[in-house]
Amino acid sequence: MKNFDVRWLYVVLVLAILIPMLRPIGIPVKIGTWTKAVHEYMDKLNAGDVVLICSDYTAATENELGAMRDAIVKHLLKKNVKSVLIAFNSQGAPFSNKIVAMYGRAGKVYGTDMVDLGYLAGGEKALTSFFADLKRSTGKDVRGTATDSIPILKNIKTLSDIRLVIETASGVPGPAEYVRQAASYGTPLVFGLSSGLVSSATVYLQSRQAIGIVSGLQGAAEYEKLTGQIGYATSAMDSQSLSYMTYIAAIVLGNVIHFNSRRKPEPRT
Amino acid sequence: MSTDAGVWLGGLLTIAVFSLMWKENPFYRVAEFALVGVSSGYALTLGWENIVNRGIEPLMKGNAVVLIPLVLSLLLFAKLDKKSAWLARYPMAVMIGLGTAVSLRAAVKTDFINQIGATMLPLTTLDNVIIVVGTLSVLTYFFFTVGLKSSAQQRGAQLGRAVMMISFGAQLGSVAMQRAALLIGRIDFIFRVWLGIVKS
Repeated sequence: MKNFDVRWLYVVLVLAILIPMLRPIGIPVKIGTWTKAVHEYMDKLNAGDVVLICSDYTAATENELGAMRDAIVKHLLKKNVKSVLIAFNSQGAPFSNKIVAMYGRAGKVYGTDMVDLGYLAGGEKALTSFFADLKRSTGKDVRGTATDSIPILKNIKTLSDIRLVIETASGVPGPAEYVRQAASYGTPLVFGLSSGLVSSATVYLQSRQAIGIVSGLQGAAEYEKLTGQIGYATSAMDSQSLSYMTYIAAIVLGNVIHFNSRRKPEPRT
Repeated sequence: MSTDAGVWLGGLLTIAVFSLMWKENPFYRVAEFALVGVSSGYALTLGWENIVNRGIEPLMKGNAVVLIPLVLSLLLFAKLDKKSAWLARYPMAVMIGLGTAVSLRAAVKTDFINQIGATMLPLTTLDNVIIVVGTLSVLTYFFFTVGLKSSAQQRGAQLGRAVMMISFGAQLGSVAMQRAALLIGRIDFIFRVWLGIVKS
């Protein structure tokens, strides 16, 4: 087995993902406590409340974060909640457009129900100035309108005037930077994170500095189930589960082969 | 099958990237260089837009304060010439100093005091016991000041090492999950969006 061609493993992995797409199995989605906490908090928002949605992720994680963004925004639209959109990651800016489009399709008006403030460079330093004065730090929105004349921002000066921050992230700035910079304003935080970032963010749940986390594709599927709006994440769950099983099988098989080969004496030459 | 040229381009580039799994080839190289080029161009455009919107335009309107960051930014280019390279130390000092100050200002409360507070738990549930014992054992592992003299300290440090290994394993598992989601996304794109073999 030492000469095993690893490309066979790739073939098995692709089949493990593709077959459930062609013939869905329907593995049940169990709701986790983190996603439930996010959903419960969002469900308590009132019509007209303004939330901040930050798209701090790259195209590589759009598959995970896009699914959860869609599920969360559908929930916000159902509750008639308004959104201020911004990105502190340069690649995240185009994803705000998708939220604007969703609001548009729901008959909402740009500038009154949502506004896209584009990309603000500077990472954590930009977060500091943005939270201190949302309008002055950005100056104008992506359409070139001065922030002072945008209706949704009329009564908003600092982060304290925002009802909730929804941070979707796959790197830096991420949960740690948001917790640090939002702490003094008292605005609650929820996170929608790529799977790789979740383990480092859970400490903020335990210390109650964040409401909850929607974690990766699994979290997106859980959120879809909670809102009763079945979408892409739910349909991808079968493929996800089978790909994990392939991982586990490969790890177990690799270890068995490794320990077996160690036990056998080397053949004499 | 899609008739959208953008979808076709995306599909062909995805296949070109996946072709590396077979072996190194020119199609993969083209896709790789295209990604680097497009990313650089995008970052440059966005950066320039930021300079115009938040630097040049306010300056034209008479806001002289923006001259400070603009001049500091220009000083970064002093690195290009050996004689004037020292000038670039000023913007670097401002960036590093400001970054550290901004982080530290809040980190003491959020990453230190609040996290210590979150670990002071009653040992009434298994979760709490794991958190308290796990934290103390990992701290013991990093207790370098006077060394690990007693056997209790040494056992604590061994447990701390095991706790760290479990934590690293969980992190690696999370990254593997992320990669699986990425692969699912690309396969879904090829077979549903591009080829239309998988029905929505």
